[in-house]
Amino acid sequence: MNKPIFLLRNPYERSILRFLLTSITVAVFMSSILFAQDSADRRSSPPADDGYGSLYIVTAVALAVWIVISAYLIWIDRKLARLEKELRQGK
Amino acid sequence: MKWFDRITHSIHILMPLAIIMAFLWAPPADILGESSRILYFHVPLAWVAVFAFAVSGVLSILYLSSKNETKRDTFDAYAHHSAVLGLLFTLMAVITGSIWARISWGSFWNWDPRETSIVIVLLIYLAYLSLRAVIPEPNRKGRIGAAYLIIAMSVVPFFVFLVPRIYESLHPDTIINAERTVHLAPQMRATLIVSVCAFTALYGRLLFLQGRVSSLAQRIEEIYDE
Repeated sequence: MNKPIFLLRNPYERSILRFLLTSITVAVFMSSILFAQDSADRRSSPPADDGYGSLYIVTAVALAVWIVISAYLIWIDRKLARLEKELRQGK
Repeated sequence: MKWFDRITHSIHILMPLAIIMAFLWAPPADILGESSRILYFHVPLAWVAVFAFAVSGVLSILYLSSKNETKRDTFDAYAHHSAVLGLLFTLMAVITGSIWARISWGSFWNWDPRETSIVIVLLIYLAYLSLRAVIPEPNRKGRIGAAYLIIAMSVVPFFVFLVPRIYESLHPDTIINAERTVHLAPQMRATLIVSVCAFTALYGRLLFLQGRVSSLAQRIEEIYDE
């Protein structure tokens, strides 16, 4: 039987890949901070919209995003439960 | 772990409740206005990050002190997952904080003592990931990783609670302040409490799912190796 893709790389290859990924993450993070510190420009920012209309829109967007995340978590939960059951039954 | 599973399922109710309370129920803060609503996401994210780092440290102590091989593996896996989640929540706290800083102070990043200290905390935990990544042997990886997480846990309070109080900071007084008083209106306080509970439950849910994924991956690997 073929091995799943995540089991194919040997531990040394995996450790090098993970190390590279972490280094790239640090580089991206520090670069974004250096970029963000030069973003000061108070006058160009638009005035804050204090109307309730925009609050309803923000709430709707936040709820929509949460529904997607929530559905994804439930899907993972069910998939894991199925896999655990299959392993218990020795399939 | 059934009870833990059931409790963390509360996110499906708590999170929408926190969103609705944050945007539609809680009043805006006096000086900061509507932008102050980011408080209900920024503060819980920062709280969960510190909590996750503390959990990873405690699990590392249990890993090093335990003699049961199965329990040790579980403690090691959960300590690692908690540190990764702490890192993720810290990153989100930094992003929400930067957005708030842009609105209040005019720039996304100002090298304020609180911003600088949180970057150091992030680098400490990113270094932990690098450290774990370069050790392929599981036992050594577990032992060295656990020792690192315990040391990291002991320095986090210094960077999160002490450094911003030693130096002058633009950051508003935190919930845990020198006056020991929460400067929030009752509605704002209730919203913050619901939001903190929602994000803590989200952390618990993600930790539980990650633990199950790694346990399954390990069992599948064992089956293929047989």
